Amino acid sequence: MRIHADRLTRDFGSLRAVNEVSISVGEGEIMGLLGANGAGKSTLIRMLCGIIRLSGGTAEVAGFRLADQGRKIRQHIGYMGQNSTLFEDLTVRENIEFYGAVYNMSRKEILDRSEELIRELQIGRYTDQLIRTLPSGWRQMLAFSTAMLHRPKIVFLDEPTSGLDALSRRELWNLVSLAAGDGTTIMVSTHYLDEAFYCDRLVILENGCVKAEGRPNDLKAAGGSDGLIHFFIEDSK
Amino acid sequence: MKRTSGILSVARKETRHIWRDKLSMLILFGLPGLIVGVFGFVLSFEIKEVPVAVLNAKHDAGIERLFQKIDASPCFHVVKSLSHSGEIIDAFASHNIKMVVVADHEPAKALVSGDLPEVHIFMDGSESKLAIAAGSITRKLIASFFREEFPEATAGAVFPEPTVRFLYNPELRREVMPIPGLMMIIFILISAIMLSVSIVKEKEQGTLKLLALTPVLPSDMVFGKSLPYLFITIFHIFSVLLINYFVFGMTIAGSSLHFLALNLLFAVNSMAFGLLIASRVQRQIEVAILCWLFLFIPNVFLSGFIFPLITMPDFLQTLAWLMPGTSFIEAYRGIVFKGTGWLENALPFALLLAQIVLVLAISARGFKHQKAGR
Amino acid sequence: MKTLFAIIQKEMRQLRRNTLLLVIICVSPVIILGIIPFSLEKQVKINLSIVDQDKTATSRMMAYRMQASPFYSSVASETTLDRALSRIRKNKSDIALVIPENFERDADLGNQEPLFLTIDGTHTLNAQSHLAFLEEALQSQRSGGKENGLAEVHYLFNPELDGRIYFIVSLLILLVTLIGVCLITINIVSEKESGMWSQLQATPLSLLQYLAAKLVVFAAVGLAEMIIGLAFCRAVYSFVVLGPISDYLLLTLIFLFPMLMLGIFIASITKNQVQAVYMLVLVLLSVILMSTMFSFLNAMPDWAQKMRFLNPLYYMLDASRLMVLKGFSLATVWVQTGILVFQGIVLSVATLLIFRSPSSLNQN
Repeated sequence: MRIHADRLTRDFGSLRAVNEVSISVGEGEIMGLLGANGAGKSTLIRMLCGIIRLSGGTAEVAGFRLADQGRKIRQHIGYMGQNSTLFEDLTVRENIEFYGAVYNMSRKEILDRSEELIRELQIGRYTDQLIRTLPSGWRQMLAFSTAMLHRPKIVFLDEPTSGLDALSRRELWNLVSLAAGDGTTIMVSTHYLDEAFYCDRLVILENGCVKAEGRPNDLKAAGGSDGLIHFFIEDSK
Repeated sequence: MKRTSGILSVARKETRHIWRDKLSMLILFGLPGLIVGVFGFVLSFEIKEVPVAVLNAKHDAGIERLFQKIDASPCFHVVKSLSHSGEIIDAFASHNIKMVVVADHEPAKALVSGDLPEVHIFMDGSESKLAIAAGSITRKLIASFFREEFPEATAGAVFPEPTVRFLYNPELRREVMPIPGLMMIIFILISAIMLSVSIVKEKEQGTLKLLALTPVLPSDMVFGKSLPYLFITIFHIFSVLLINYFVFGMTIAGSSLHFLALNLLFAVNSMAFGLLIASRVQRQIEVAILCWLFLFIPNVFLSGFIFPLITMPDFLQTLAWLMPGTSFIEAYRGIVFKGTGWLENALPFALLLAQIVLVLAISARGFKHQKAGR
Repeated sequence: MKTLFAIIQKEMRQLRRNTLLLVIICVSPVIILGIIPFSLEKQVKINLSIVDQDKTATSRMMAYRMQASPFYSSVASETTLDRALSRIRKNKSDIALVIPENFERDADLGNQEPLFLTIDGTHTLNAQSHLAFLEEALQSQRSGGKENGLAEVHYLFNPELDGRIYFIVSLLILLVTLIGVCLITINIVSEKESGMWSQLQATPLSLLQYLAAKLVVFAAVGLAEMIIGLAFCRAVYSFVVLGPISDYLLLTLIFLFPMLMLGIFIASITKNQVQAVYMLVLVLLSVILMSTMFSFLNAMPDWAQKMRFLNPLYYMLDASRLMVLKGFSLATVWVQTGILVFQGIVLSVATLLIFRSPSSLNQN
């Protein structure tokens, strides 16, 4: 198990954003987090990255304890946040150099990896362009690749495809699948229901709680005629 | 009335933004009171308890009494007693000492031999105005001391002093004097910076472009945004007036209506300059730095707040008059302290008005470019 | 460390990319330093109105001498005191001198009526010094140029009594402060706002490295501002630093430590740039107005004097005036320097605590 979380809880004052969520993700697995806005997806991801402190529960990520080994965890994970991941007023190459240094990669490693990246994404012509000038599809793929720069064991993606057109979404998911195929564990949050089917397993969150989990097709079947949407319809209490 | 409803809806939105940001609201409403109420007491160039070091080389009793007299004066405070002249220069490095008074002889003996006693005053000349004034005060103190102690011997050496009267500030009362300048700072920083940073924030976020797509004209949008700040500024005018009255006992010698008109005019003027900056820059950091460097600093230094205009060279006096702060302080002092009327303040009012028109025109062009999409 | 160097490199690159900002921070100090010091009174310049009620040779001589002297930028003759006073009211002159009737006649009799001076008290600083100057001038005129034998004043450190240098120091420091603090605060807050701060939190980058890099970069900017400013003032105003220049630049860096930390502190307690700008106005104004930039320390009320322990700008001004205007070295101002370092440490601790606290401001 690359990620093993037990009853994670997070409070913001009186608001409980994440409520006793237990989750496990293995090697090479793509775990999808679904849920409406405010369901707690981002908060959960950030807790697992060690960005936000836990109000309750324990977790082990990449073999390290979340409670006190946050620093070590962060060396072995990649993260792609909801907003700008890359520095807008730096070039592609400069961004890569920066993140490479942050992950303590040697110059040679950085160079090799950036060559690989550039070839994979076919952005050779754009390496010296400012991120700000690139179309959003490129930026997201570049952001993903940068998150993968140091070959982390786990990558967390927080709504990586929001705002992208269908083609760009497909291309990004291609990259994600390739990475998972190589053994990288991926935890992805999204609110596009169709993307659920790119994932190996799903966790559906509602108001900070796990509403459902399982394989996408199983959940779809369980949802009856509505399919997955079933889990997003308000329960009559 | 579509236009008014457009303006009002922008104003309402802006008010909500302000209302939701409690920290900013606190600063927005509280800052002027703080500035006037607190800093009004602080800004003073009065010569008071200036630290002094003394050297009584011959340990003369008469000189000792002289030094006590200097210490007793409200202007000076003896903080250090030196033991030899080698310590004079280094004395200035500690305790904020600005002056060293040295007597290396015994006055009684000197007079016996027909000489005049000689006391040396070493003055820190780096702040020349303080040096000149303090030097003169000390000399007078010393002269009056020797006149008292040795009246016959010093008869011919001193002449009667001129009678002095200070206009507009009979006791050089310090609290009230900085108030016009502080009001200027309040308006400039708050009215200008706050309006322009709000506009540029929307520019940075891209929401300004969205507004450009609505039927609301850019001018109306700007007007709508300014409205809440205008009301806040009116609040400031009155709250500061109350503070001035209750804390400093400041009353207006001239017409209150005149006074309010001046404040309002300057507030609008400051907002216009804020708009000018907002129309030209893309990022909030640029707003901040430009406002501090080109609104705050020039107006503080060139407006007659600290340094009087008549001592400036001619070309700079002209430049100074172009600063809105100058007109404001000029008219403010006139109305409040001297009781001048509308006619006498015609020039400052006209200048402020002209600046508003000019600056708004330039800003309008800047904003049109925004709408046209650069 | 390599990471620190990489962050610094990134900051430098980002700074360079922002051309308008670069232009502003390079050009505006030059503009400001190029204009404002000219407004400061270099030599005493009195605008005098004389009302000569005596109309004798002595009184006319007095007026003539003043007209000829370079210390009076204008000497106007008025027939009545009221007209002289209205000149003051119109800001055309700052002192009115009345030479009373029978001035010359009574001079030797010893019961001479004193001269009557009316001074515009609006500008305390000028009023006091102009009054003093005029009194001394009148005294020495009447004693026939003989020095008042009782006390002699020696002006140290500024023999020409250049009225500008004191405020040029203040202006330089003001520029460095404003630019440095605004830049660092808004830089950090905009990274918080854009989500970049969250992104960096997920990396092995430590808070210490992040903040240290910012400090280094913006301290360099501040230092550069000081160097440009000093060089410019030297060229245009022959303004020299009397003490060792390397010492003074070191002092500037030491000063930038607490000052920039204050900026970082502000960035840690504000959510977005608008709040940061408001907070900057509050903090910077307070710090500037309480710092003796526009006041004398001893003229301030007791509580205000005590607050100087919280104010890095006060110690910078104090130490700068000692080093730049009086030639003392860094060793002499070790107290001020020590306090600056201490303030920086306190602010650093406070900032780290805030950044690490579980509040939502820095961990959303």
